[in-house]
Amino acid sequence: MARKARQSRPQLVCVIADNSGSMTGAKAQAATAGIREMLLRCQTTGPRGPDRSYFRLVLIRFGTTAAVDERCNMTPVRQIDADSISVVGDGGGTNVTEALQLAFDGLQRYMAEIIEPHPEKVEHPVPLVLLFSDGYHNGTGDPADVANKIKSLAIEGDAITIATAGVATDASEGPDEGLLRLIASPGCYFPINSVGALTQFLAEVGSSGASSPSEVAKLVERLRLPYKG
Amino acid sequence: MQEVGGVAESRVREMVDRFRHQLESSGTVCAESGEIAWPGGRLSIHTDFGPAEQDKDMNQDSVVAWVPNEPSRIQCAITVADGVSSSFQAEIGAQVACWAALAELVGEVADFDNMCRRSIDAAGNAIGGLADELIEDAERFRPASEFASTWKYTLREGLLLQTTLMLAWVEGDRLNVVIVGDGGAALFAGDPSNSRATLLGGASPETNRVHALGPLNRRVSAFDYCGRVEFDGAGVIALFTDGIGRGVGSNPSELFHECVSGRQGARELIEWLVKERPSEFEDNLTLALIGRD
Repeated sequence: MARKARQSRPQLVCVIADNSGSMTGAKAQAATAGIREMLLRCQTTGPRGPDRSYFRLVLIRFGTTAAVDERCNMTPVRQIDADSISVVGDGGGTNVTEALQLAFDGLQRYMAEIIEPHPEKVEHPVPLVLLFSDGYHNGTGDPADVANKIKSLAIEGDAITIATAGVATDASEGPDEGLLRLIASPGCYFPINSVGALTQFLAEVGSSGASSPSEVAKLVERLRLPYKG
Repeated sequence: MQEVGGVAESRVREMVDRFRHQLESSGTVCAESGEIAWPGGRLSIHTDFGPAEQDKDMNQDSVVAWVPNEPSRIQCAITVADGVSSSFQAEIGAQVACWAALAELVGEVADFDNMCRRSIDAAGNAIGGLADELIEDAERFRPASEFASTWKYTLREGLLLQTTLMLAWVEGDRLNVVIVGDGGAALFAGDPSNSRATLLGGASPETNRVHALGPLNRRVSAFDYCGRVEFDGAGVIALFTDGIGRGVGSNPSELFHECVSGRQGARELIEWLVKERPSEFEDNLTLALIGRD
C-alpha cells in the first residue's frame, strides 16, 4: 500500500543544516531560501486549515556543536512562520556526527512513540532526512556510523531515507563528497555547484513527500540536470 | 470551521446573484441538487460532501443546471466544478466558475469553439478578478490563522480559488462538452438494458497533477476535452467529478445502470454510493444526469 501523508499521518522531514563559518553569505542565504520555500510548499499541501499539516519539521543546525531549533522540533508545519527560519553561517566548525546523533535520538523516539503504535502504520509516510554541507567533518566520531543507525530505522521494513547535498559554490575547499555519499541512502547524494541549486534541492526534495530511497533518487536524478534558475 | 479572511461571503453572494439573475431572465436554474424538465427529457443534479471519514472539511464541488423558458438553440446546459482541495477557498472558486461559465454560455450564442472558449475564459476571469481584489489589499484579507509569509506565498503562487470545470449543453441532436481538469462524462445511448457507454474526459491514473483554472491560469491554453457527440435518440449523459470518476472504472454501465434505466436520479445514486461503497468513493461526489426520452 502506498505511503501517503495525511493530517492523521503527517510526514516528518528532518533538515540538518550546515551552519559553519564557511557557509556565511550567499550559501547561508540560499539555504535559508530553500528551507523557507520547502516549508511554504509543505504548508500549502493538503486541505487548508491550521490543524491540517501534512508535514512535521525538525531543523538541526550544526557548527562546532549541533542544536535543534525549538520552533521546529517535530512541529506541524502550519505552526511555523517561514520568515522566522534562517541559516546564518555563524556556527564555527563542522560537527556532522553531533548533528546526526541529535537526529537519530529524535527519530528513534519518534519511531517508537508515534509510529509503532500508529493505527495507520501501514500507510504512514517514512521520515525523510536532508543534510547539506560545504566542508569536512572536524568533530569526533564517524558520521557514517550514526547515519547507518538512522537508515536502520524503518516502518515495517521501509527504511528512513537520507538525502545529502555537497555544497561547492566557491573557491573554498569544498565538501567531503566521499563522506556525504556514505551518509546518503543509495542514489540520494546531490552535488551542488550553485547557490540556486541548493535552494532548489531543499525546496523540492524536502516538500516532495517521497518516502523511499528510490523516490528520492529519481528526484535527485532530475535535479542533476543543469540548473536553470 | 469556516476560515476567516479571504473572499467574503457577501462578495460571493453578490457575484452569484448577478449571474443567477442573468440566467433566470431567460430560463429556469437549478443549483446543487434537484430535477428539472427540459424539452427532451429530465435533468437531475446532486452534489454531496461524500463519506464522512475523509480528509476534508467541506464540499468543494459545485453544479448548476439551466433550461430555457422559450425554445432556444441551447436546449439545456450544465456546469460542474471541483475545487482543488489544497487551494484556499477552492469551494468559492468552484461555485463562481460554474455560474460565470453558464451565464456566458447562455448569454450570447456563437459557434462551438467560441462558446467553449468564452465560457471557460469567463470562469477563469471571474476567479482571477476575486484573487486580484485580495492581492490589492493582501493584509486586510489575510486569514487570522495564517502567517503573513504563508498568505503572501499563497497569493504569489495563485494557490487559491483553483478549480476544475466541465460545461455541457445540448443543441439539437448533439451534446457539446468542454472539460478543464479531471471531470468525466459518460454517454449511454440506446436501450437502457443494453446501452453502450462512451467515456469522455476523466482522471488520468498516471498523474496526481490536476489541470485547473486559477488566478495564474485564467485562460487555459488547452482543454482536457472538447468535443461534440451525437445525442439524438433515447439515452442518458452522466457528468461527474473525479470523486465518482475514479470509482467508475472501465465499465461505467454497471455503476450507472439504475440511472440509465430511469429508476434512480443523481441524488439516489450518490446516497447509495456513500452508504454502500464509501471507501471506493472517498471524496466529494457530484453527478449531473441529462436524460433524453
